[in-house]
Amino acid sequence: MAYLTDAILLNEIQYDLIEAPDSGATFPSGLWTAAEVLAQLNDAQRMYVKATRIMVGRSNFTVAALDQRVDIEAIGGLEDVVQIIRVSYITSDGVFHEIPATDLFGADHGRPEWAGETAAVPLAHTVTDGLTTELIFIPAPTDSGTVWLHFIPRLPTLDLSFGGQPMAMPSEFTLGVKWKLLANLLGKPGRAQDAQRAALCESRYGDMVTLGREMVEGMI
Amino acid sequence: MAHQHVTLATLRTRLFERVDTSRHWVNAEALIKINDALRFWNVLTGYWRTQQTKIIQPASDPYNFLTGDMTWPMRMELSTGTDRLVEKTSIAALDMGQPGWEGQSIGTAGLPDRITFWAPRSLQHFVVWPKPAVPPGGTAVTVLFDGIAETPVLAADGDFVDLEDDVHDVLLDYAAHLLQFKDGGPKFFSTAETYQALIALAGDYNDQLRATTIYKEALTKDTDRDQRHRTRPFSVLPSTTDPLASGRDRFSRAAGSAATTRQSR
Repeated sequence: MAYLTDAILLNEIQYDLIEAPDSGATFPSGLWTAAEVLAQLNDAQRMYVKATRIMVGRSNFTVAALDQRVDIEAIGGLEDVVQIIRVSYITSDGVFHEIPATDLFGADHGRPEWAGETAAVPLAHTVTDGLTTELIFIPAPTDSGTVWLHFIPRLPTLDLSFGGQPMAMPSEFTLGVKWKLLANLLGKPGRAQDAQRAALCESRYGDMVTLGREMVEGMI
Repeated sequence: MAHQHVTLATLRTRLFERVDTSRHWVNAEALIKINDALRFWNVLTGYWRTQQTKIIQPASDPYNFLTGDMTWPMRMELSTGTDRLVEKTSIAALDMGQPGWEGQSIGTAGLPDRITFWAPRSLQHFVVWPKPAVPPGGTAVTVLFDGIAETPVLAADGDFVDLEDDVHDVLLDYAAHLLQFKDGGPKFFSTAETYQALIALAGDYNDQLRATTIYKEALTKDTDRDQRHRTRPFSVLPSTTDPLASGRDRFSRAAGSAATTRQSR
């Protein structure tokens, strides 16, 4: 599989920005700093992966009986979760159940007694209304079970080390990252701003998000 | 449709013919834009294909990974039997239509006796339903994937790609548009319709692309054209009564090729 490196991508960006191409080491115009561009590259890559879900991780862990709230940060491998996208609950007899997402507003109004209840299989989960890293079952499971948690991982930081670090995705999809990076750099208030090109780059980024998303959601 | 064997040197020459040569563009920039155009074409159409055999081991887990050089899978079939097609679906559809699907195996009463559906989880991560049962009752299942290969990367002058005749011009127009990005302004925005033309042509090669919003927008809503209309000074408008004529011509060319049925590739 062909992966571009951060150094190659920044070198390409430098041509677009009329900077001397040196793999992102310097930006002599002074409109941007090398550290700023590298940080924007990391942000753009993370945003693209989150928006498209072209990379998904999974973690399995057990939940004790009556365990209504689970701190997922305390579970190994889940320290850097960007977004939880699916939760399956496996009962002790091995039956899988998808646990849909909701929020506490919905739970409180749809089933006001949930906080004091238990169920063989939780009806729903929420990750938005508890503590930042908390997964809440609605209601708590009666018995222990196993959770399969699918999530968008936080990508390793690109830092140009060793002559260039590989991007996290096949080279075809780095086009989306490139458009987003250019949109951010040209949209920066100040002498570097070019609102028209920034808007066009943002639009092209949106198209690459659409294409990536369609691929992993079963259509294209 | 006829293929043409084109080298990087030829593509670069034809690309430079499309831009104002009084500007300084170096060969390295042309190379980047040609490769970017080829990559985008592959994303839009899945033009470069590959096949991969995958043995799905009997396991308690229906999630599997692809390895090798397939960028993303498109189609699955079983390696043996007369009824081989494994239909593609989505995980959301499996959740809705077959609750508990992750735990269901071939051979379970009431379930199919072979893998019936597959769905992508992420680019190289997929699921099958029902999964091969764990021995002693079950065995591994061999499947064939048709999917998208890596886009060829052109580096040396003699490197080549095989492209159909109607694709060359539109791809090079788009590469020229990318090349002029660094100039910005009217010169750049005046070539923005090449992006829509590329997407319109891609719809001929990928029927599923036609269902997406970007394809519909490419055909119906040319926002770049609106923007260009606001920004282009009158002095550089084409000498015609219709300032959008050149864009329409290029667009018609793509639409015309879209009407031509592709026989083979």
